[in-house]
Amino acid sequence: MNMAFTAEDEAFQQEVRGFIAANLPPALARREAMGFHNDRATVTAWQTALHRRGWTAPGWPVEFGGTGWSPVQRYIFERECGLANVPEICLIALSMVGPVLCRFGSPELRERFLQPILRGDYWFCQGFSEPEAGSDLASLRTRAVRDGGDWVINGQKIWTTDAHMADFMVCLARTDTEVKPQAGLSMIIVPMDAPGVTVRAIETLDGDHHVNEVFLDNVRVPAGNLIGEPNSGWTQAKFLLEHERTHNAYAGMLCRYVARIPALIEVGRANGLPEAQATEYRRRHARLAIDVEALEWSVLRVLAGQPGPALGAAASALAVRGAQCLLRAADLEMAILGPQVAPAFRPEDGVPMPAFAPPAAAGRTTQYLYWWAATIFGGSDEVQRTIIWNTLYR
Amino acid sequence: MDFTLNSEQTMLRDSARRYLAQAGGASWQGYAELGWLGIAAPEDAGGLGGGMADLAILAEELGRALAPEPFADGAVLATRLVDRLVVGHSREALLGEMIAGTRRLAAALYEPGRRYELAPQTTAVRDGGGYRLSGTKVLVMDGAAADDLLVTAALDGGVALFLVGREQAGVDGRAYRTVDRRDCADFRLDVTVEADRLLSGNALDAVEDALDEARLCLCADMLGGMDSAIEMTAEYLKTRTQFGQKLATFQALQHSVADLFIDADSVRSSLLRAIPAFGGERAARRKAVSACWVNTFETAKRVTGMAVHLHGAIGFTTEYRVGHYLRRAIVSERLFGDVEFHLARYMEG
Repeated sequence: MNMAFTAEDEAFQQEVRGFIAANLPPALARREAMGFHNDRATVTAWQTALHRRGWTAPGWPVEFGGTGWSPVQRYIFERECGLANVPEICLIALSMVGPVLCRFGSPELRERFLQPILRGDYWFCQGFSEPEAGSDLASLRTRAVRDGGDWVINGQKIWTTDAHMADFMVCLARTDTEVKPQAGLSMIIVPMDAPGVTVRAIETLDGDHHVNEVFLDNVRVPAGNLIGEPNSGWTQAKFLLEHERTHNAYAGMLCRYVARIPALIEVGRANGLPEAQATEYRRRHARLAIDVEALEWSVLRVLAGQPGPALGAAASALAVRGAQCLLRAADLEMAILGPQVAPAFRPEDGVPMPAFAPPAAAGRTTQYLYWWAATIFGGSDEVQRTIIWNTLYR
Repeated sequence: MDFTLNSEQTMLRDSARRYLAQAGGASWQGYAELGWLGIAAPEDAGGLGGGMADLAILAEELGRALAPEPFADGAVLATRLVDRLVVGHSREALLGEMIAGTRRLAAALYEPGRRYELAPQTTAVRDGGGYRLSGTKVLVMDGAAADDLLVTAALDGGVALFLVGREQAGVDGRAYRTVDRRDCADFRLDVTVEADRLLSGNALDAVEDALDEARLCLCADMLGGMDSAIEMTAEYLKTRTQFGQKLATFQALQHSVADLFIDADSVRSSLLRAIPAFGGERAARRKAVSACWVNTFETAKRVTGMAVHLHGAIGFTTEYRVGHYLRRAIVSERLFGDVEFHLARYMEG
């Protein structure tokens, strides 16, 4: 057992910190700190800087442009990004599609997509969920039928993050209806500008636009766009979802909350927050910090692959705990800010905040609302609990 | 970073689990024969020079087995204090007897009406060539079985530590049992001791350092207890039939058990985070230990209580094992500072 950070780890932490300080545009960090989703235009400068440094894709194999970091280094990078208000950039291309192509893609697909993804030229969305296939993903009905040298795709996807700004969709479609549901699926890359692709925005409770409906109406793509062998999509989808199994703990984001809440309480004290309430909030903050510290170590345990049947269960556990902690953190911030969180605010609105609201108040409610999605995406909390039962106790 | 046990640690865990399952954990002499009493003792005194990880591995097994002997107090706290504060020949002799299980020491730190305050109201006054100790100590685990007490007392504005024979005149003990059926004692002290029984005139740091190791052992002990309670619960649900089907087929019950795992797994992470803190600065270690304590014992009541609940009425009987983890959770939490105490200590750090 050696469960402490080494001197090399600490040196790496300083290196990451220095890189972020030198390269993250302050306006981007401010926007991220306020809790708003970014689009391609706002993150381009940051992605370019990351690409120059070779740090765009920590999870990829080195030969395809990965960083070769140890699990601990990967975690340190995530934590430092969280603390410094670094936005997530094109998670689906970099953390999901990229690793799938490295593992299962043909040389042609790798050649065509990996470098543009690293550069930020190609953004992806993930066409998995459908109106009738949410937690029960294998029941999806979008069909891909072979026609000469093409696949012809018909169906509907929903909750598709970033579809409105993506260049491609990685689409999970049924290519064989004669076998059991999991065995008849394939993963196909669909250009979003192909004829027959229609994207419709869905406004979510946080007032933002990040998910969409995507309609696929006789969409024709070349046969070579199918990743790997036909009907191996379920294996690839599982690989894709497991590849970032610690992502939904949002440990870096939680470190950010833990770090900034004390100052928010002090600002509150100067603005009418009674000491007795402040004391209670400090206590809630400490309790949150203790749980977040534990969550960080849970992430490290999963990344390091501590052996045993509990590993998959531990990954599910940290997804559930992560969502719980995010909601507690965001709820605590709203409690501290009190009436200041009521006004609606979006940066694009150009509407000035009410005079009584400090800059810190903008986006707090938005973020709180958003974290309810964390109890659903990547497998709902109930799906995670069922995985835990089936893995450990059934 | 590496979370895997080395071969010695794996052997320690497996042999402890085997032994405790067969023999129970009620023999201090048995602990001595297995070498457990020497883990915290240094090699130059015949011990194993073990670290926090080794102690936690064993403590987890002791908790799983509901072992009644005071390992954290007698084999960790007392051993570390003697190692650090006793000087000269008597150190090795005393440690040798402790390792062999032939001499038992118990730490008498806490006082009535003082909760977890370590600055004592018990006083030490120079008396001839020695010291006169006056005061009351409470919650001394297995105090009645101890040969000697390690007693804190106020001396010249500092916190002094004395080694006091339990059977000496002026040591008035009252033995009782805790709600989890462990042996415990309070002591009224009005006793004169020789000058060489003063181990240190300024022992507070040593006591805090040793206590933190004992604290983490109790956290590990409780984690083992939670693990066992959850396993017992899942097994029970698989055997009990109601409404014509096994209880384990009901999703509400599956998810309740999964929630217990989720919470207990967070405690494991707190523990694994606190263990390496013993290699670092004191302030960071104090915080990490208190964080672990808060998470462990807040979680332990819920997990072991729910384990009772999920068993139904049988879980509420003393005959059935699962409820004893709940009892142990309530007592252990109060041995070296409770959840509120440690949350405050965490916030100070």
